[in-house]
Amino acid sequence: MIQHRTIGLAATALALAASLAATSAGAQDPARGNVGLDAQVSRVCMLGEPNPAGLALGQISEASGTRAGRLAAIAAQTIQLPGTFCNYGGAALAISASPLAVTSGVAQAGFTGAVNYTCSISAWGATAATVRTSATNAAGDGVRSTSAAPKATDLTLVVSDFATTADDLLQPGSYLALVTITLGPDAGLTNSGS
Amino acid sequence: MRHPIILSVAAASLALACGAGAALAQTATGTVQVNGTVANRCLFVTGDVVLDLGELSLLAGDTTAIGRLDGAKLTSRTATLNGWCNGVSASMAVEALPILNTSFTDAAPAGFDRRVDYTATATASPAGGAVSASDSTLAAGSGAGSTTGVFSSDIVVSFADPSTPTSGRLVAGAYAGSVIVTLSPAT
Repeated sequence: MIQHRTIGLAATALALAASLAATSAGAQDPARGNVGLDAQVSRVCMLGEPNPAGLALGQISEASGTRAGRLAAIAAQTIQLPGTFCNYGGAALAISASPLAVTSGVAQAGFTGAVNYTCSISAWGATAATVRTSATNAAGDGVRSTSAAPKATDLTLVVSDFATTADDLLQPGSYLALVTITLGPDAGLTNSGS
Repeated sequence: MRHPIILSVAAASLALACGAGAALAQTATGTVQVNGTVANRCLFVTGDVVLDLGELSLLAGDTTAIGRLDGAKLTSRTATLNGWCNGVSASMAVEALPILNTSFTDAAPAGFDRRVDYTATATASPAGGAVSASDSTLAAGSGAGSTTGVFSSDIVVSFADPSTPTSGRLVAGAYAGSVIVTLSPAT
């Protein structure tokens, strides 16, 4: 009797162990490994290469007639800036421009050596970026245009409304103006490329 | 004098008879059977790895390429997990999840993308030869599983076919994705 009882206990124990093993095998779940991928994309703006690179206005004074020697009518000029983009929202476009100014000689009374004009780019933000050159706007800064979202577009700079301050006679010589277009963080345009 | 001798013999016979009686009973043998099982199992020894891919966009070179995906940032990298399976029917499957911009969650504006797709391939090395399983992020869910059988090895995850939905420029921000490798004990 004692032997039977002992064997019986052993059998029960084995059965329990087998039962546990079977439960464990049945509950085995797939093992999952994970490879996390972290990366970043930096803020970047690129202003398209101006095309044409410059404007050659030629003779800007009337050669004859009642306005001889004064500023001739100059049609609006355009410069394309294709492939312009900023990959983040809030980037601002600004234009600064200097008057079309004579590069040599001394201004005489009744003559002027400066022609003012307006620069405008309308495709960047909700409102156009513009600047009007003038003797009082020494820095040549205008109104910025900010795009709320990342933007990729072809920009067109329109240069128009050429005029002298008092329609004076133009001083002879070569005239030169510089237009700078800047695209970058709204708060740090001076630090970004142009 | 004769009596004591007879008694003595009788006593000896009794002792023998007793001894013969004990020898006739059989020795009892008990058997204890020891059984056990080993469940099919798979485990990762190294199951969590993070790859920092760095800058995902091209910042120099051709002006038309600047700002677009620099695929080499992904294809040049591998991640190494380590795991094992103890069953001949064990299998491995991969689910790759796209790399998404986590800081810009709006729809990407025209000309831009905020998602990077790719194909991830996990390769284990059983004794019989390497076994691979792949998945592309272009299709939802995990890729087809591959039978690894019994193995204990590194599982190298590599990357291929990087792309963006429109081949546009990537929106600035932080990006994250993941690759899930599943080892199944039995199929």
